[in-house]
Amino acid sequence: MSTVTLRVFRFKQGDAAPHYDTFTVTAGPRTTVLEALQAVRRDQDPSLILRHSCHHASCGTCGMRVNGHEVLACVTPLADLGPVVTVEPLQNAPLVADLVVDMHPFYATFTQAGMPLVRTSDNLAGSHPAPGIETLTRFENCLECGLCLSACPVVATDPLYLGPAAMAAAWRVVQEPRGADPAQALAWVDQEHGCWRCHLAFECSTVCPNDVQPGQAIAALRQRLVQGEPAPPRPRPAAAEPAPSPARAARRGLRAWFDPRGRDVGYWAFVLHRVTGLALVFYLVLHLWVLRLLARGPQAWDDFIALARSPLFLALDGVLLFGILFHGLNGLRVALVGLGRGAARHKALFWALMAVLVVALLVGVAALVAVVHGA
Amino acid sequence: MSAYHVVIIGGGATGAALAHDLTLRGVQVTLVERGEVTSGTTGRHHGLLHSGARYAVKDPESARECIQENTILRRIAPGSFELNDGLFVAITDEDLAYYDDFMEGCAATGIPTRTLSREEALRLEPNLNPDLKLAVQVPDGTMDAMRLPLRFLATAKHNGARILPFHRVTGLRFHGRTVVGVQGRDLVRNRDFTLDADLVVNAAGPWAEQIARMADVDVPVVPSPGVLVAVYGRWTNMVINRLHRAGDGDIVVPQRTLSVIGTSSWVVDDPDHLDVPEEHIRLMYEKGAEMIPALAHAPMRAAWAAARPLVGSRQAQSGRELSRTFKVFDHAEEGVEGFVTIVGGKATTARAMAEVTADLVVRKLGLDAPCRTREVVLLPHTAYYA
Repeated sequence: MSTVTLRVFRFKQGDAAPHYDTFTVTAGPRTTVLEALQAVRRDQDPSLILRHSCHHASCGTCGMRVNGHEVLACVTPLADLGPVVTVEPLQNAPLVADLVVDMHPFYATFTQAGMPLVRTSDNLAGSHPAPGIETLTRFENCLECGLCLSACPVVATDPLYLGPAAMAAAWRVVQEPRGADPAQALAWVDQEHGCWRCHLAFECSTVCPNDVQPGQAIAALRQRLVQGEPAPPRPRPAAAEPAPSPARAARRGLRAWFDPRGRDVGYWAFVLHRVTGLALVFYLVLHLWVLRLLARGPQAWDDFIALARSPLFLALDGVLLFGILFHGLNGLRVALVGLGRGAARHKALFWALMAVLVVALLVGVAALVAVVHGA
Repeated sequence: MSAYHVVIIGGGATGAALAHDLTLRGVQVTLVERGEVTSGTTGRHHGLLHSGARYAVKDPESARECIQENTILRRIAPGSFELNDGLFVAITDEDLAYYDDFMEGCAATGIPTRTLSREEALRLEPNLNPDLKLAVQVPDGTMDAMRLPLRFLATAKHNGARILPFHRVTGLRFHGRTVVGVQGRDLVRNRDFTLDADLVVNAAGPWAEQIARMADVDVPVVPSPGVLVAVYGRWTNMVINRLHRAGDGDIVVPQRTLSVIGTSSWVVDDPDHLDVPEEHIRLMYEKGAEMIPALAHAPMRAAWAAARPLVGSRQAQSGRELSRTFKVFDHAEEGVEGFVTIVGGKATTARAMAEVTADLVVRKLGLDAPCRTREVVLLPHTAYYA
């Protein structure tokens, strides 16, 4: 048994601001975050509220952020998380109280995809439906937990965005219509706040507890729309119905675009893409300003050449080169994956392009140094 | 809608089905639950839509309830079940010796069966123990432990019931010895609440005794936990039961991409203190692997415990000896008017429990309103939150 300090997010309707309470709990090797929170509620603070139901990652109710990561508390062992564990509600959803968020906005969008709960697919290779059963069926993988919405940087800023869970559901309808209309599902995602809005951070797929892979589903929807049969006339903006205002207020906002702490590589690439993009714009402005100085005459030119040969300036050239290479190469990945090419291996593609970046950067820096020293 | 207001304590399967039933009969309903709905016993069950065959020999009353409700639920909750049926497999000669009793029990309780040879069973389910002697197919199924009750709640809500999760009841309100409401703590706003009621129904499952004590009455409910283990992989498509008297680790329910092995059975005083003994986890693996050998090496997704709210003597040893049927108590018999308790039963029989309870409730309120829950098709579970 080990002792763990839980730092738990607390808020009740009517409170001016949230705060954190700390509780000390003991944890065995199998104790989950959910069990620890239940023990806190039972023994220390009966006013603590949280959602839970099945206790085996099937219902999707106990989604929360533990040390900044979206998880299902019922399958997250406490012992692996260090001596102090911070527990917070999901982001990008209206807060009810403590660790409870309102699932209304999630379902309001999710249900529009029209995905039936039971899928018809062969589950076990080599087995056959029993007599009296026409097809093998099982529940869909999506647990409707909302972890993907909490983790998505686009959901954080766009209140009309359909979001990863709903679009993964739409892709399931396209794959396996089961009475629903795949053309309608395609038309539904083919809109400004639909699949084209995704920025391929793939954080949805990283946090998904049941392998739904919403990121890949969105890429597949795009591919289908690009290649596919002509989409039927778009229904009037069913999805463009604004989410209720508390939902908007609860969104994490632009901070999510520049804060990749604890996130997977796709999210880091997303953030770095924005940072390098902004930096390149800044550089171009700076560049124009320097050109204006050069126009003053030969003395200005000579001064500039001296400056350009300084180690600091060369280092900045290296940084510039990195920015150009990263933005260009990652942009290539975004363009490819965004159209469905290589979505299943987006991480491998990223690292391959980063290898190209490293080689190109080394060659580029060597060339810069050679130019200066050779002169 | 009548002017009568009924407060239901407990947002599990029973409370959910009762809220639906009473709302359809024109009663105003408020359901209070201390946590999220289905966060007690309901959400943590196997996910088995019982055919009743498990109880056909020893507990025929429960078996009959199960097969009747199984048929009704398929009709009123379409799309909520994995239509996969179940197999009872005989592995040993001892299991085989139980076959005649089993078939007789199923016939007597109206559970359809179909006997399969070893080869037929292995063709359907290649991962079964190849030593099996024979198997019997029954109309078991897989349900989602939370999403079926959510359909009752969604429909009740749509029809005007008020559902108040995160409302902990701390006491009952009395007029003399008549219960006239509840009081407690609203944990969303952190303030006290009171509700007036013409009648209060205690549907708190294994916590029913704690609620009953608030009225100084006693209900014989035995919180009897069982351990369940979910492993990765869907090793069978059908529900697999051991063909013998119900015991430990004799059922595997495939659910989504997992297989759930259950259960054990013991007795506790406080349903808020549920351990998951390590030896029970081992036992589930061991017994499960006797039916499906691959389970022995399947990685574990979760192990948890849920407390059954069994009706019976608190002297019970393991809970296995107690019936899975249910019982409604009108506490007027002990001098407390306006207070009814429903305990026992199973998720599969929640609708029937609600029907019997609501029959008593409307009779006590002097209403003439028949049950309609056998016919009314439920809204989808998503309608609860949407």
